[in-house]
Amino acid sequence: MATGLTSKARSYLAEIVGDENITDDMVDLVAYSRDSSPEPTRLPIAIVRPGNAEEIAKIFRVANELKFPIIPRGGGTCAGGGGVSIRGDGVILDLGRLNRIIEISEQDMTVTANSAVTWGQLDYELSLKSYRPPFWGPESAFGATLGGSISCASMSSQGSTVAGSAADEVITLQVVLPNGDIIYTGSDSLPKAGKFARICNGGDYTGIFTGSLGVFGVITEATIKIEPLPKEARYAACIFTEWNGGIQYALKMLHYKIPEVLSISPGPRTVKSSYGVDGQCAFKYVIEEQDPTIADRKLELGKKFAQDLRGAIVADGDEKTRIWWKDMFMRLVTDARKRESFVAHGCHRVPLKKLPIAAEDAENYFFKECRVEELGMTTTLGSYVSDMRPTCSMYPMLFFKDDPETRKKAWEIWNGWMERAITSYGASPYWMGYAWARHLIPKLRSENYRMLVTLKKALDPNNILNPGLLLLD
Amino acid sequence: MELDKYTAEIYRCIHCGYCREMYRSADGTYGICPVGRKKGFDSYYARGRMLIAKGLYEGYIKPDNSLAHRLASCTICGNCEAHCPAEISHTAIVEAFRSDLVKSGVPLLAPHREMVRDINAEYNPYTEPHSRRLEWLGNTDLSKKAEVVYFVGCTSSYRRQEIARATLETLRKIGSKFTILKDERCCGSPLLRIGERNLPRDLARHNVRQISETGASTVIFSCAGCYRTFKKDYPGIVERMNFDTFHVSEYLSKALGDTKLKQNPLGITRITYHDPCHLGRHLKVYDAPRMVLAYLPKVSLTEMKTNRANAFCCGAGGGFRKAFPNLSIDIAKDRVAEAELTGAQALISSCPFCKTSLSLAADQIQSTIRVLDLTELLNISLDSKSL
Repeated sequence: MATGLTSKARSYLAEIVGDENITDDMVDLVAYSRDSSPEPTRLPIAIVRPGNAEEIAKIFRVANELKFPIIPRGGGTCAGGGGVSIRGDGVILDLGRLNRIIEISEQDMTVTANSAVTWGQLDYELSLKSYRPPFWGPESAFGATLGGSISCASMSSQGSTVAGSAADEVITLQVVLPNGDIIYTGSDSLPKAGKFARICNGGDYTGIFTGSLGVFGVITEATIKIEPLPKEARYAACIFTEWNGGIQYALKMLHYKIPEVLSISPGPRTVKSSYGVDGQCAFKYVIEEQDPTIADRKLELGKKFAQDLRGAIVADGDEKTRIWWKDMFMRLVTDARKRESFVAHGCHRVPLKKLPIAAEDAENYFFKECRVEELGMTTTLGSYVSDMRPTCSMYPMLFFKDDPETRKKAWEIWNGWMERAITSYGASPYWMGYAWARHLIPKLRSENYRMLVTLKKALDPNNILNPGLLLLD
Repeated sequence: MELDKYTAEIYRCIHCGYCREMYRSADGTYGICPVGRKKGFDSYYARGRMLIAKGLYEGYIKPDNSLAHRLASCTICGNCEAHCPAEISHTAIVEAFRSDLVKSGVPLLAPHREMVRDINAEYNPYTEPHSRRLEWLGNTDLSKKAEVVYFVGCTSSYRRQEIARATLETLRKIGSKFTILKDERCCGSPLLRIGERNLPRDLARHNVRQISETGASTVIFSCAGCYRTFKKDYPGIVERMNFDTFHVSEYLSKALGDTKLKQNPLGITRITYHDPCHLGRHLKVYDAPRMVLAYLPKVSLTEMKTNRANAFCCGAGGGFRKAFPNLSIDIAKDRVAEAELTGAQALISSCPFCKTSLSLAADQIQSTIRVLDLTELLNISLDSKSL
């Protein structure tokens, strides 16, 4: 049971961030008690809002001295129990004041920004100079932050086919370690070198802080790649009655480096609901280029490959795909609104060749075994190719009413799915949060787990940072 | 509880946080919440309030003064609502929440209690005697009957009389057959916004009865707040209204017809326009003020970075200025700074409450930009002798 913030701790923290940037009022604690997942309400003991890396370093020193946990929080949009105080004894580190875009370097093709800059903010400012990040942001890009997404290795259909995850876009990071040291990764680890390369000066220790949910350090600044906004866009869609043809088609599209995004509707139920016809899988693809001739040729090739492999081109697939693409960051929330529902995400990585099994398993689990529709819930399945490789993000989504009783039932179904996906076909989550971690961590190879513990103990001997999140207590 | 009406909407919030600091290049959205931006903690944003409401239903929190304080910390500007992908009625929810708190015995904030007392006693929130409400009119005779009623509102009657005069003169110059109520009372907007539900009913009934006695078929407003209250709140609290309601900009945009205006003698050629939240987001009146401004010869309008549905609030509404005057002015300063970036000589609005807030802010940051109401600029252009 949480005992609350001691007056000594409060006084130290207030001295660092100013009294206006700390609160332990219940009305504030409740506002930080959940993220965008069905994880239960968990109250922190306080919230602090530091203004820079130096203040965070001081906060960590106090936390080490007085032994209280710190829970970093970006946009608070984690879909699996991130940015909340899991054990109920944590102080939320609301990074919202670190919201400055520091430099857009056209020569280096990078942008450097504080960790609480949202992807929407980044897109807004970059678009004024006709640039964008190759990974545009997660589905919640108007709320999600750069630091949060890098810490979660977020992916989405927006850019991930080409760019992979948010973590893949990182060149350098500024990180505050649990002991209060402020470090710089990649080329920036060498004073005067600059922020231009990730793997150099002794290795890729940026990787320690990507996808690891802020258990080893808090990202305060990131330099990521940017690219010119494309001048041309083309859209199309095709359907396959057999998975084999679909997989061959996806491989062909990758070989020719055709799509900006290659989105997959996996399984007959999803194909039927998306296109009203029978099929095992359907593909939407978006081509973005600087040159119209290249864009046209790629569109033509995409259609040719589909026909060669006995796929059917969707007659209005260009328009359907264009509409789907247009309001990309609103799609998830508007889907939830249409269903008057909250949503639980089961996103994970799976090799393309295993996608048919994963889709079938998900359909069986949610619709046949859990009978979600009889419970007033529904499930949708989606997928997209990532990293320009035959690897996919597969995302079952469970829509349910957010009242406490239904939420509890949805939580059980959702957790059942994660456990099953990991054990049955080796689903590998990229973003995690406590939801995935509680299923994944116990199943890691023991040597890997030992290494994580060793690393954690070395960097955070007092276990002040996000205890219980990645390395379960 | 009044909040129960919105339970489904509250539970539809998936905590996406788009109500916090949303930026969207496609439509010029550049930030959402004027208060959250200043205070930072999630409890000041719409998402936090939805979690607080869920917390109340689920027993994590009880009505108390802290909750009242957070709920009062909202200007009801509606920017969160306009951008909420879940289409949640955030402003109505805050007002219902505030009302429930009042009913559950949590006292209003002290400045709001004073406001209720003043409106109850003198029918205006400014501690001014009701008997002096029409003082700005001088010896002007008022018709008992007219086709049109100009509902002046408390702010123009007591604090921004230049807007009342400009509106009156403008209406005269275009030949409108109008009158003003001899016993106009507060429309009830400030009370409704802070969650006080009973007193506005009496005020609404009185005002509607007064208007009916004039035989007017049209009522026009220079105050966006009064207009919003008549348009959106009155239908729910009075039995019948036998008249149409228009903001003065809507009325003028039709009435001006092919009128040719003179160049304004102030020498103002570059202006920008601030959309009042109650007129813009609440009632979707964006074009009419701009159409009226387009009548002004040799005046060019440059839009601010945030405009129309994305327009940032002046910080005055929803009882916010009364409760948090310093923070309110800080918000207004940001808006004036945004206006300055356009290079405009004048910041035009169409609400006396906005004008008050923006003028104070402009003074405090020693801005050279002039803050004017649309009616003021129009009036002097209709007839430069009126200066």
